[in-house]
Amino acid sequence: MTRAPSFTAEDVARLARAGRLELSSEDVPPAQRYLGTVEALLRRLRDVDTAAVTPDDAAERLAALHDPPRPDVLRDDAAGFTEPALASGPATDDADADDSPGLGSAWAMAAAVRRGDVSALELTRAALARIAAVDPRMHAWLRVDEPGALAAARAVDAARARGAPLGPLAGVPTGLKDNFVTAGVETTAGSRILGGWIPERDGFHAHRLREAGAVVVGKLALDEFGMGSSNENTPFHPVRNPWHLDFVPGGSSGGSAVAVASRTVPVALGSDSGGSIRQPASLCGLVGLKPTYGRVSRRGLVAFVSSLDQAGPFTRDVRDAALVLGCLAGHDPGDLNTIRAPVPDYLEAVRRGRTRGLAGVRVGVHHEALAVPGLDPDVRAGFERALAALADAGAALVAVSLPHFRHAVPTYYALASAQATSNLARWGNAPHGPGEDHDAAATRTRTHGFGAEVRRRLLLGTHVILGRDGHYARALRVQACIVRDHAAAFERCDVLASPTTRLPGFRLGERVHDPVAMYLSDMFVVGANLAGLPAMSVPAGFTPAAPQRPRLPIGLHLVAPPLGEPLLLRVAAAHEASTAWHRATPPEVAP
Amino acid sequence: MTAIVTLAASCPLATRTRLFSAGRTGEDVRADPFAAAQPGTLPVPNRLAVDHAIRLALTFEADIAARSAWTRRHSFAAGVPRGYRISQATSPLARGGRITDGERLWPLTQLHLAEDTGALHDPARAGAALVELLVAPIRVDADAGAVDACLAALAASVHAAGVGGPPRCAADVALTPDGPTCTIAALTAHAAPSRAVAAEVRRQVELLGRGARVAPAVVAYDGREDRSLVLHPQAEDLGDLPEPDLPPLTIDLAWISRVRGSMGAARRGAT
Repeated sequence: MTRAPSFTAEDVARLARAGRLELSSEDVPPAQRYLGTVEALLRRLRDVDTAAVTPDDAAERLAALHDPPRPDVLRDDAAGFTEPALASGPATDDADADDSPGLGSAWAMAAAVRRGDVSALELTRAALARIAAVDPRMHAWLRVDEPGALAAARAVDAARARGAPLGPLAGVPTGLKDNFVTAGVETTAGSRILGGWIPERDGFHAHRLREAGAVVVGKLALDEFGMGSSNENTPFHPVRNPWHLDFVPGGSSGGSAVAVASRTVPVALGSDSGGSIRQPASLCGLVGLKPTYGRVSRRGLVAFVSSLDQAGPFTRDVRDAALVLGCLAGHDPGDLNTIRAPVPDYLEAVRRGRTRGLAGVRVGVHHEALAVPGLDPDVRAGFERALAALADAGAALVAVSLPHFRHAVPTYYALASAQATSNLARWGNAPHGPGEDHDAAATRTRTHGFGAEVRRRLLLGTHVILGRDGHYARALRVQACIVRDHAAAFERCDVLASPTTRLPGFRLGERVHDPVAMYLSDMFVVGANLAGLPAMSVPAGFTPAAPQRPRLPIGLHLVAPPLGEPLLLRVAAAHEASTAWHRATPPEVAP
Repeated sequence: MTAIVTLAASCPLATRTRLFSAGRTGEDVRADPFAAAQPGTLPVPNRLAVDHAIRLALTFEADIAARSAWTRRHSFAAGVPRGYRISQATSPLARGGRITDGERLWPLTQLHLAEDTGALHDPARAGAALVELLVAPIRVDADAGAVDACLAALAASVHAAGVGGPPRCAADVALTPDGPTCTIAALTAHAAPSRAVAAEVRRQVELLGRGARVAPAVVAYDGREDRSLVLHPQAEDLGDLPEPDLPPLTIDLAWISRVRGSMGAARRGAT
């Protein structure tokens, strides 16, 4: 039995100095406790036998998805940058009948705009009105760009009037998590330190959505820099869950989830480094999709955990997720980690799942997830119901094991804290005025600009980067073990299934004073990030209303092999076709 | 009295744009989103910079690695807008090789690509493409004359390769192989770098003679007084991380042959 790790006040002071942060005397004891607790978690990785892997293994397996890197992936010294064009051509309204009544889905909206049944301007005005009506209670929208949205909508309508081809998201009001770079619209990543930054140019995601005809209505709340699972790590208002306002929406993409769940827009983009799309999708009763690492560019996404960050959509149904993924996926010469594989027809995969079922598909039931202590019985019951629906659709259920499952959270925190510390080193480091001491100015800017959770993680990340305990290299090795676990599991099954979260949600304030308990809320979802795999959370019912807990959504979590988005969408669509969960409306926003 | 001198040279490469971004080398970093550390930007290596590095590796007969990797070297210094510099220092493009003036040989440890840091008088240097060369430790006697010969040969070879400006050098000086090391910054700013090395050796010898300790530091040569002055203690090590934004750089034989071929052409063109 090793002694519990402890950090002296001097240790904490040394880390704070190295990270250019100032700690007051009352900050020190909680920082000591926090670092001690996380250090104990990280030390568990020492028990993992990693003899069979090398630190490069995880990177190698992901690299295998890429064409052999050649000189032509590098940049020409003199050439300017060309935005990669949208791969999917102009959308056509095929025989795929729209079975959702009204204009609920992005698919239906875009089809109606193309037909001329409704104008983009009408849809945009409706979204703006709805934000004004419901968002004062939810706080999902950090910033609404009304003039920009109306101008974009008019441009779509003008294109239609001219007879120009309209994109797959023509006239669809959308929101972006505020860590996506948007031209002319302040981009803060939920932090005071970026306050007032108005980018000159769109990042990849905003550019692509606009190219597809979407109308960007505004920017959505998040945990500061993506660090959190509840949206409470914010200098602004915490976001509230429309299924019950006392409950958190999840995080870090909580604003994106609530924007869709509260029916203000049918599509919102989030980012997912350790579950930040799928966990809030589950807590808000939505479809949330994280693509294969490298399927979608990271250019224009404020970096958090560079080796794990992926952008993806929140939608109310699976088809909309497929529609948006088709607009975002593909190689980008501006992100060398993007994959060159052609972009498949994701809508066709959804059609297949809806109409032809799952005969021949093996669904692997993640054994360790079901054995986790404290798995909520209602979540478990919902999950079993979802498995029964998949079996009814023709899938075969097999039990599969991911032996390193319990090491995923500590591995994630070693990698995430170190990379975040590196990515956040730029703030406070800009040139200061003449005569000002650079270090003192940097320390002041960083101490006042970052919130409590960010400062905690910077201390932890500085500890990891300084590297005296070898946490980072060990975490890379354990990551390689987790990659192998998944590869082995996919020899026995085609997709992996588990609940998305252990509990259906928690109340605001319930976990803010226990950051490590908060970290454990992502235990079912971080594995897909570490293994670089595509994963989704889809609506799987509700907990029964009870005196101690209201009726809350439950999510089914599905993971597929690398670039297995079509299979993932097919299974999700088959599940959706046999259930009605995605049609339920949160009580707080019922008309 | 002998001392151990380890020379590190930075050769600015003649590329129009920076090592990882399309902003013009030497223009204000604020006009270059990646060099200015704007959020959401990503590095994309400049192919011509890699060509130039291969050319220098061939010039010095170093062994080019089929695969080299990028590392983030963290520093909160003012000339490092991102808070880290991307470098191949820990997984270099080439190892070994030698500098020669036709008579003498000075072995190289490694040669790699890296980003330049912005200097106080020249902040626009941040992010410019560099090749860094590490010379194997040289044992010098009191006048340190070998340093001048080595640096002159290095500058001549870099000039002949035609890929960049004159190298800027720093020298680590220690009296014994595992003794404390002091770094002479801006060594090549002086006409005779050997005098700077000799002065630093004298300073260290004098400290030891007084029974004092040599503390690792960055020093500068004061040419007027012919003495070495301590500028500041060695910067704290803030650690390295593998660069997660970039796959490893792979260089195949075809690429090397292409560069070799262009060198022949350049030489023929020059005669």
